[in-house]
Amino acid sequence: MVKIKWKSIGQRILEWLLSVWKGFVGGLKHLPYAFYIQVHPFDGFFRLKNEQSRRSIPCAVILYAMLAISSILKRQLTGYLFADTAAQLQLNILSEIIAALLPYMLWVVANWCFTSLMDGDGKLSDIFCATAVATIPIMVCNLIQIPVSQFSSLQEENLYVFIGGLGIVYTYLMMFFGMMITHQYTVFKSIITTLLTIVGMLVIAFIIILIFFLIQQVLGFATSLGSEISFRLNE
Amino acid sequence: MKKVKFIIAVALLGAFLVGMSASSFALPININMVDNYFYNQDAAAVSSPVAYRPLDVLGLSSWKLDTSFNPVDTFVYKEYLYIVDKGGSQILVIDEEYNLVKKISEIKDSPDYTVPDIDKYIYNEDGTREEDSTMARANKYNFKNPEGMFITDEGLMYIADTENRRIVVCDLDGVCVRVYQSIRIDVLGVTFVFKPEKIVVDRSGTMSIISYGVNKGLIQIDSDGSFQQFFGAPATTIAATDWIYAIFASAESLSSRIQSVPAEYTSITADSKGFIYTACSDTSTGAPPLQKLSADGSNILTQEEARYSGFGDLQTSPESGQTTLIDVAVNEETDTYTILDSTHGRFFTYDSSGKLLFVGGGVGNQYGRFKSPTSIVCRGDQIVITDAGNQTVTVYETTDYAETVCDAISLYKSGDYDAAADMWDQAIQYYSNLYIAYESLGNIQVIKGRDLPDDQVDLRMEYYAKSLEYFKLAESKSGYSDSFKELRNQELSKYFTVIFISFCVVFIGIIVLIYVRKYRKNRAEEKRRVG
Repeated sequence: MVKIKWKSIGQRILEWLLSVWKGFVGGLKHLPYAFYIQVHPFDGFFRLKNEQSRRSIPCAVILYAMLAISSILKRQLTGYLFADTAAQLQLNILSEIIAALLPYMLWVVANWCFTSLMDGDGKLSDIFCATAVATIPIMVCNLIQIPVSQFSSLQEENLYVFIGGLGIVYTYLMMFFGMMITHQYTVFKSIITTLLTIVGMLVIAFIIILIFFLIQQVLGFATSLGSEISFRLNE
Repeated sequence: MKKVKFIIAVALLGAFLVGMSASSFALPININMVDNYFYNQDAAAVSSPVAYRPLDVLGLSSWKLDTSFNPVDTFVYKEYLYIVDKGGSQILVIDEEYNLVKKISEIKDSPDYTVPDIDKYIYNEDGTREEDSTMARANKYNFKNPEGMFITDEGLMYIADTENRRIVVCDLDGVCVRVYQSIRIDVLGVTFVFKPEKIVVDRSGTMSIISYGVNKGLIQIDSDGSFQQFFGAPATTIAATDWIYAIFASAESLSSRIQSVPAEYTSITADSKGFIYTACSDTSTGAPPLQKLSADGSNILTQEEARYSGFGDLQTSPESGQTTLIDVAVNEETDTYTILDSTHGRFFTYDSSGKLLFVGGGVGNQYGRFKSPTSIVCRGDQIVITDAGNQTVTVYETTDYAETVCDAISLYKSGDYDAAADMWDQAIQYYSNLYIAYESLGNIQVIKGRDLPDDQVDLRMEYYAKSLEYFKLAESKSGYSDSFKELRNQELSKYFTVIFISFCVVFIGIIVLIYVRKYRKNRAEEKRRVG
């Protein structure tokens, strides 16, 4: 009989929670620099990669969480004139989070896959952090769009659309520069890598869907097998 | 004490009477509330109250007609309904009780006009002419398979005598006034044979005619019988695949393909203002199914105010087939038009802005259903549809629901907004998903608010706020947006000073902050230099 050391388990959980909290607080400390990068991308991304004190994984996680939260807020709080009111009635937070973050996660993984083959300087954590910083414009624009949508009529729709488009363009530019500087690439090589990364994202998405489909098939087979056996046993 | 009791008693009695009068306004119950549909604001088919109820189905037995009865066109003039019987080569005159009054099967010479002989010749390419054997037995005093008719305000009856290749103008007793025949149109070549199908006549006596084999639009013939012009030719578009094919295909294969020619119109109808509605059943070449032609031949029918465009059934399966528009009828009183779909035997009523109001009819052998409907006409509130397949003439009447909606529309049009609002409220009692009602109620609130004098801004804003609710129910974002803008601008102007001052304060604060920071930075640098 193994004696479970409850005390030490509790202690470990507490320690873990404490470290998470510390990481969170530490991440908050790095947030101002992430916003500084938005206006000084070249200098900012360079130091983000090379000075460890400028960034942390918790900070990136916080940024991604802010992105997800902002997109959910935008979905639910957009004014009547600009909202899909039917969709607002049924919210699935998990799928919203996935929809908001999956493209960036795919980008991070696919970019890491290609750049490690194309002698990029960045590690996975570097790409993760740089991409997190690059998503800030979309997050900010989502939050700006909420009050704008509440106060605009359809004649001022252009303003609303412009803000959204600005966020997207700014973010894509930031992602591009972030990648270029993180891996120390030339512009031309960055463009090639971007295209390759997009292809890689599609491949990964395809494989994910394939795996889901296969799992579904296997599960379906197993359940039908089980029900068949139970039928035969009951005969 | 007695006085108090008396007052209480009177108050109770009064309340009771008020309650009675309120409850006596009971809902008119519509028995046929099932088995009908309507396309809602999202163009989805939803069930709706029945709008048209078959009143009477008339045919061979009720009018004692031959089995050759084949109704193809109808016209309403004054209290009579005229039916063109293609099979029997005659015009039936029907009175208000739907009794057959008389049949016009032959025309008579008038004192100062004798009916000319029928033009029996067909022309060859080289200009020579020969007698057409099929026309040998044609009698100039009879019709032969007429397909269309029109009666002018003066009571002149224009009959498209199709197989006799002429247009007969006679009075209502069949006394002939004029005959238009042997009409030559240079553009169509010498071999062209004029076979009028449907006809519309304007006030100056200019005829607009659909003729067999003419796809350049309506043939306009002036009152002397000379060809004027083609009018309102249907547009054609080339499919992208055909266009790509045309680039690569050889000349021979191109010429062997069927060319994409404009479609021929199926039917025309004129309203009292002189606009011509055209129906076109072949829309494969891009011809609009329904047009309202103005005097210069351009289409002025729009569905811009409607939520979706398209006529007839919107969601059709390949098995059931697409809507084939075969005829249009215009109701002048309510300013609505009704189209007839021969594929599904249904008719659809639209208001003047192209919003679908009602659907009726259907294919089948049941009472009030059709096999192959041929024409439709509005007779007051009733709708008369001829069916060549069943050899019947079906009369539909509007239900209370449809009448309420039509009343509301015409009241709104005439500017009696309070009465229109009441009517719409009543229509909502019948059918609470009627988005048109909510939209119209919202518009009424906006108009009421707008008409108020400028010193009653608060009341005006109340109206606008109420309209917001209606527009939300109607899912009308454009209407909502306009009212919302008015409300918002009003609020902004109310709190303008506060907003302006706070903006100024924030702006100045930011500038001060920037200067303070700069000043501190400079101080710190100075200190460092000194120290």
